[in-house]
Amino acid sequence: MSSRSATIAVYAVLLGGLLLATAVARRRPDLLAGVPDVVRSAARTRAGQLVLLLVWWWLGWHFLLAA
Amino acid sequence: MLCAAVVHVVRANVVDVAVFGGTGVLMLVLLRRDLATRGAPAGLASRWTGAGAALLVGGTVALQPRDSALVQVVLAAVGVVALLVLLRAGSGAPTLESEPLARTWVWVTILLAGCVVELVSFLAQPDAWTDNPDHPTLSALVDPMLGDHPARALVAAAWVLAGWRLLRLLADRGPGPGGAP
Repeated sequence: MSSRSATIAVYAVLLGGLLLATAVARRRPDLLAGVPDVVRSAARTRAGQLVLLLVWWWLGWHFLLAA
Repeated sequence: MLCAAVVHVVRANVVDVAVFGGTGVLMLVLLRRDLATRGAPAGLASRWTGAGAALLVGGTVALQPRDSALVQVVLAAVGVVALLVLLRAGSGAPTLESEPLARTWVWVTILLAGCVVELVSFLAQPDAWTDNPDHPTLSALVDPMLGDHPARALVAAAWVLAGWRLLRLLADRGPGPGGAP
Protein backbone atom coordinates (compact mmCIF):
# COMPACT_ATOMS: atom_id res chain seq x y z
CA MET A 1 0.00 0.00 0.00
CA SER A 2 1.42 3.38 -1.00
CA SER A 3 1.80 6.26 1.46
CA ARG A 4 -1.00 8.09 -0.35
CA SER A 5 -3.38 5.16 -0.06
CA ALA A 6 -2.49 4.72 3.61
CA THR A 7 -3.17 8.39 4.34
CA ILE A 8 -6.51 8.27 2.52
CA ALA A 9 -7.37 5.06 4.39
CA VAL A 10 -6.68 6.78 7.72
CA TYR A 11 -9.00 9.66 6.77
CA ALA A 12 -11.65 7.13 5.70
CA VAL A 13 -11.33 5.24 9.00
CA LEU A 14 -11.71 8.48 10.96
CA LEU A 15 -14.78 9.47 8.90
CA GLY A 16 -16.22 6.00 9.47
CA GLY A 17 -15.52 6.42 13.18
CA LEU A 18 -17.47 9.68 13.24
CA LEU A 19 -20.43 8.10 11.45
CA LEU A 20 -20.33 5.07 13.75
CA ALA A 21 -20.12 7.28 16.85
CA THR A 22 -23.13 9.28 15.60
CA ALA A 23 -25.14 6.09 15.13
CA VAL A 24 -24.12 4.67 18.54
CA ALA A 25 -24.93 7.97 20.29
CA ARG A 26 -28.44 7.91 18.79
CA ARG A 27 -29.14 4.33 19.92
CA ARG A 28 -27.25 4.34 23.23
CA PRO A 29 -27.07 7.90 24.62
CA ASP A 30 -26.18 6.40 28.01
CA LEU A 31 -23.01 4.97 26.44
CA LEU A 32 -21.89 7.80 24.20
CA ALA A 33 -22.87 11.48 24.25
CA GLY A 34 -24.60 12.82 21.14
CA VAL A 35 -23.25 15.73 19.09
CA PRO A 36 -25.51 18.35 20.80
CA ASP A 37 -24.29 17.23 24.24
CA VAL A 38 -20.67 17.34 23.13
CA VAL A 39 -21.19 20.85 21.73
CA ARG A 40 -22.91 22.03 24.94
CA SER A 41 -20.08 20.53 26.98
CA ALA A 42 -17.43 22.29 24.89
CA ALA A 43 -19.42 25.54 25.05
CA ARG A 44 -19.41 25.86 28.83
CA THR A 45 -17.07 28.84 28.57
CA ARG A 46 -17.20 31.86 26.26
CA ALA A 47 -13.77 30.85 24.91
CA GLY A 48 -15.17 27.43 24.05
CA GLN A 49 -18.14 29.03 22.30
CA LEU A 50 -15.83 31.24 20.24
CA VAL A 51 -13.59 28.30 19.27
CA LEU A 52 -16.57 26.22 18.12
CA LEU A 53 -17.91 29.10 16.03
CA LEU A 54 -14.44 29.80 14.61
CA VAL A 55 -13.85 26.17 13.62
CA TRP A 56 -17.21 25.97 11.86
CA TRP A 57 -16.76 29.27 10.02
CA TRP A 58 -13.16 28.62 9.04
CA LEU A 59 -13.99 25.21 7.55
CA GLY A 60 -16.51 26.87 5.21
CA TRP A 61 -14.17 29.72 4.35
CA HIS A 62 -11.26 27.35 3.73
CA PHE A 63 -13.05 24.77 1.60
CA LEU A 64 -15.57 26.90 -0.31
CA LEU A 65 -13.12 29.49 -1.59
CA ALA A 66 -10.50 28.79 -4.23
CA ALA A 67 -7.07 28.08 -2.75
CA MET B 1 -5.62 28.41 19.32
CA LEU B 2 -1.93 29.24 19.58
CA CYS B 3 -0.92 26.16 17.54
CA ALA B 4 -3.50 26.98 14.87
CA ALA B 5 -2.31 30.58 14.74
CA VAL B 6 1.31 29.42 14.33
CA VAL B 7 0.29 27.15 11.43
CA HIS B 8 -1.46 30.08 9.74
CA VAL B 9 1.60 32.29 10.24
CA VAL B 10 3.70 29.56 8.55
CA ARG B 11 1.13 29.42 5.74
CA ALA B 12 1.46 33.21 5.49
CA ASN B 13 -2.30 33.49 5.10
CA VAL B 14 -3.13 37.02 6.21
CA VAL B 15 -6.89 36.46 6.55
CA ASP B 16 -6.49 33.32 8.67
CA VAL B 17 -3.86 34.94 10.90
CA ALA B 18 -6.15 37.95 11.41
CA VAL B 19 -9.22 35.81 12.13
CA PHE B 20 -7.48 33.45 14.57
CA GLY B 21 -5.52 36.28 16.21
CA GLY B 22 -8.67 38.41 16.44
CA THR B 23 -10.56 35.54 18.05
CA GLY B 24 -7.79 35.15 20.62
CA VAL B 25 -7.99 38.86 21.46
CA LEU B 26 -11.79 38.65 21.66
CA MET B 27 -11.47 35.77 24.15
CA LEU B 28 -9.30 37.92 26.40
CA VAL B 29 -11.75 40.83 26.13
CA LEU B 30 -14.73 38.62 27.01
CA LEU B 31 -12.81 37.19 29.97
CA ARG B 32 -12.48 40.69 31.39
CA ARG B 33 -15.83 42.10 30.36
CA ASP B 34 -18.79 40.30 28.80
CA LEU B 35 -22.22 41.49 27.78
CA ALA B 36 -25.30 40.85 29.91
CA THR B 37 -27.09 37.57 29.25
CA ARG B 38 -29.78 37.96 26.58
CA GLY B 39 -29.88 34.62 24.80
CA ALA B 40 -30.63 34.01 21.14
CA PRO B 41 -32.77 36.39 19.06
CA ALA B 42 -36.31 35.11 18.53
CA GLY B 43 -35.89 34.67 14.77
CA LEU B 44 -32.97 32.26 15.15
CA ALA B 45 -35.23 29.41 16.25
CA SER B 46 -37.29 29.56 13.04
CA ARG B 47 -36.48 26.92 10.45
CA TRP B 48 -37.06 29.57 7.79
CA THR B 49 -34.04 31.48 9.07
CA GLY B 50 -31.71 28.52 8.47
CA ALA B 51 -33.37 27.56 5.18
CA GLY B 52 -33.29 31.14 3.88
CA ALA B 53 -29.63 31.60 4.77
CA ALA B 54 -28.71 28.23 3.22
CA LEU B 55 -30.58 29.14 0.03
CA LEU B 56 -28.91 32.56 -0.18
CA VAL B 57 -25.37 31.30 0.41
CA GLY B 58 -25.83 28.12 -1.65
CA GLY B 59 -27.28 30.17 -4.51
CA THR B 60 -24.45 32.69 -4.42
CA VAL B 61 -21.81 29.95 -4.40
CA ALA B 62 -23.63 28.16 -7.26
CA LEU B 63 -23.85 31.23 -9.48
CA GLN B 64 -20.45 32.80 -8.84
CA PRO B 65 -16.90 31.70 -9.65
CA ARG B 66 -15.10 30.15 -6.70
CA ASP B 67 -12.67 33.03 -6.36
CA SER B 68 -15.18 35.84 -6.83
CA ALA B 69 -15.26 38.78 -4.46
CA LEU B 70 -19.01 38.28 -3.91
CA VAL B 71 -18.48 34.75 -2.55
CA GLN B 72 -15.79 36.07 -0.21
CA VAL B 73 -18.08 38.86 0.99
CA VAL B 74 -21.02 36.49 1.56
CA LEU B 75 -18.91 33.94 3.48
CA ALA B 76 -17.35 36.71 5.57
CA ALA B 77 -20.80 38.20 6.24
CA VAL B 78 -22.08 34.82 7.45
CA GLY B 79 -19.24 34.72 9.98
CA VAL B 80 -19.77 38.30 11.14
CA VAL B 81 -23.52 37.78 11.62
CA ALA B 82 -22.92 34.52 13.52
CA LEU B 83 -20.34 36.23 15.73
CA LEU B 84 -22.72 39.11 16.48
CA VAL B 85 -25.50 36.66 17.43
CA LEU B 86 -23.10 34.81 19.76
CA LEU B 87 -21.84 38.03 21.35
CA ARG B 88 -25.42 39.30 21.76
CA ALA B 89 -26.34 36.14 23.68
CA GLY B 90 -24.08 37.47 26.42
CA SER B 91 -22.37 35.78 29.30
CA GLY B 92 -23.34 32.30 30.36
CA ALA B 93 -23.51 29.01 28.55
CA PRO B 94 -26.00 26.55 27.08
CA THR B 95 -27.86 24.42 29.59
CA LEU B 96 -26.22 21.05 30.23
CA GLU B 97 -28.91 18.46 30.90
CA SER B 98 -26.36 15.96 32.16
CA GLU B 99 -22.61 15.86 32.56
CA PRO B 100 -21.47 14.11 29.37
CA LEU B 101 -17.71 14.40 29.85
CA ALA B 102 -17.26 10.69 30.55
CA ARG B 103 -19.21 9.88 27.38
CA THR B 104 -17.27 12.20 25.04
CA TRP B 105 -13.88 10.48 24.94
CA VAL B 106 -14.66 8.73 21.64
CA TRP B 107 -15.38 12.07 19.92
CA VAL B 108 -12.30 13.70 21.41
CA THR B 109 -10.09 10.77 20.35
CA ILE B 110 -11.35 10.77 16.75
CA LEU B 111 -11.07 14.55 16.36
CA LEU B 112 -7.59 14.68 17.93
CA ALA B 113 -6.44 11.83 15.68
CA GLY B 114 -7.78 13.76 12.68
CA CYS B 115 -5.86 16.87 13.75
CA VAL B 116 -2.64 14.84 14.15
CA VAL B 117 -3.00 13.21 10.70
CA GLU B 118 -3.70 16.61 9.13
CA LEU B 119 -0.70 18.17 10.89
CA VAL B 120 1.62 15.32 9.86
CA SER B 121 0.43 15.64 6.25
CA PHE B 122 0.94 19.41 6.38
CA LEU B 123 4.47 19.01 7.77
CA ALA B 124 5.24 16.47 5.02
CA GLN B 125 4.62 19.11 2.34
CA PRO B 126 7.71 20.54 0.62
CA ASP B 127 6.47 23.99 1.59
CA ALA B 128 3.33 25.49 3.10
CA TRP B 129 1.63 26.00 -0.28
CA THR B 130 2.55 22.81 -2.18
CA ASP B 131 0.66 19.57 -1.57
CA ASN B 132 2.57 16.33 -1.04
CA PRO B 133 0.83 13.67 -3.19
CA ASP B 134 2.17 10.92 -0.89
CA HIS B 135 0.69 12.53 2.23
CA PRO B 136 -2.30 14.59 1.09
CA THR B 137 -4.00 16.94 3.52
CA LEU B 138 -7.78 16.89 3.78
CA SER B 139 -7.87 20.08 1.70
CA ALA B 140 -5.87 18.45 -1.10
CA LEU B 141 -8.34 15.53 -1.19
CA VAL B 142 -11.56 17.54 -0.90
CA ASP B 143 -10.62 20.47 -3.13
CA PRO B 144 -11.06 18.65 -6.49
CA MET B 145 -14.50 17.42 -5.38
CA LEU B 146 -15.63 21.02 -4.93
CA GLY B 147 -14.72 22.04 -8.47
CA ASP B 148 -18.30 21.70 -9.73
CA HIS B 149 -20.83 24.41 -8.97
CA PRO B 150 -23.63 22.03 -7.82
CA ALA B 151 -21.36 20.15 -5.39
CA ARG B 152 -20.03 23.41 -3.99
CA ALA B 153 -23.55 24.84 -3.61
CA LEU B 154 -24.71 21.74 -1.74
CA VAL B 155 -21.71 21.88 0.59
CA ALA B 156 -22.30 25.61 1.16
CA ALA B 157 -25.96 25.03 2.03
CA ALA B 158 -25.06 22.17 4.38
CA TRP B 159 -22.37 24.34 5.99
CA VAL B 160 -24.87 27.13 6.65
CA LEU B 161 -27.46 24.72 8.08
CA ALA B 162 -24.81 23.17 10.36
CA GLY B 163 -23.79 26.67 11.47
CA TRP B 164 -27.40 27.60 12.14
CA ARG B 165 -27.85 24.52 14.34
CA LEU B 166 -24.55 25.25 16.09
CA LEU B 167 -25.47 28.88 16.72
CA ARG B 168 -28.84 27.89 18.18
CA LEU B 169 -26.99 25.66 20.65
CA LEU B 170 -24.28 28.21 21.46
CA ALA B 171 -26.68 31.12 22.00
CA ASP B 172 -29.06 29.11 24.16
CA ARG B 173 -29.09 30.44 27.70
CA GLY B 174 -31.82 28.25 29.12
CA PRO B 175 -35.08 29.37 30.71
CA GLY B 176 -35.53 32.50 32.78
CA PRO B 177 -34.38 36.10 32.38
CA GLY B 178 -30.85 35.38 33.59
CA GLY B 179 -30.37 32.36 31.38
CA ALA B 180 -28.92 29.10 32.58
CA PRO B 181 -27.52 28.99 36.11
